[in-house]
Amino acid sequence: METSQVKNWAAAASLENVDLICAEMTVWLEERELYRELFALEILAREALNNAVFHGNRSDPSKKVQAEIKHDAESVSIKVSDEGPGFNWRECLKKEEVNDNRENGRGLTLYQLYADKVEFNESGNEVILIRLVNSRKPSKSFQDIREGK
Amino acid sequence: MQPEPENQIEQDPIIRFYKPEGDITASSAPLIRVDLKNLIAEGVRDLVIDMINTRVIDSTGIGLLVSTHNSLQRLNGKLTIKNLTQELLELLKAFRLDKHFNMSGDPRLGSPARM
Repeated sequence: METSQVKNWAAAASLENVDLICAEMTVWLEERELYRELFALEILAREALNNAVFHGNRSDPSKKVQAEIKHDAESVSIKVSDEGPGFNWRECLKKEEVNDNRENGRGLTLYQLYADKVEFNESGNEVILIRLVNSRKPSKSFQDIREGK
Repeated sequence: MQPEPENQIEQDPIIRFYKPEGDITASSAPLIRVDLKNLIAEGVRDLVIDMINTRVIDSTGIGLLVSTHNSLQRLNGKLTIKNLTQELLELLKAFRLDKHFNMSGDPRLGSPARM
């Protein structure tokens, strides 16, 4: 039986690998009986990996995305990094207003909806998404996020 | 024996039903987008997407639904999404998409969701 509470991936930047990593991550979470967290954690992992492939590595398969999932008594964290230059995440987090009819621009809001904590490195090419799994605080409402609470 | 098509289109004289075979994500969205665009190009104005096989929709998938809704709305058509899991229903409601097109959950599924 696997006892490790951390699992890592390094893969070429492609959507096929996003699907593969998410599938393996789901198995890993199921082995830890985190069934109620599967949906939220898959959404978080997919968004972070898609961003790493599309925006970070510009879909260049010669570049790699790295992913790590970690589980402790309180939380599950997903760390994703790419080889791109990063982005001005501070500005984007401030500006992330979702126009209902826009076809894009929901990625960072999904982080905020499903993660209890969102951390970027300075340059913005690595994100850590932390979700509490035991001692849940009250869920954030979408209105809270819109209002920056 | 013919292989079953991946994404199923059921024909109806008035309404067209479209059932993706799985999740609507960045990897599956391009093919689904082609199917939906073709349906609209064929003249479908009342489109029902049946999500019975769909467990996860990422931001690309949400964008595809919005794009389809926008296209239909420009043509005085309408989009309906049915058989959503509770998690997906809450996700789409979080983006207020329930204000723009009709959506309903899968009555067989009632798993409590929390964001």
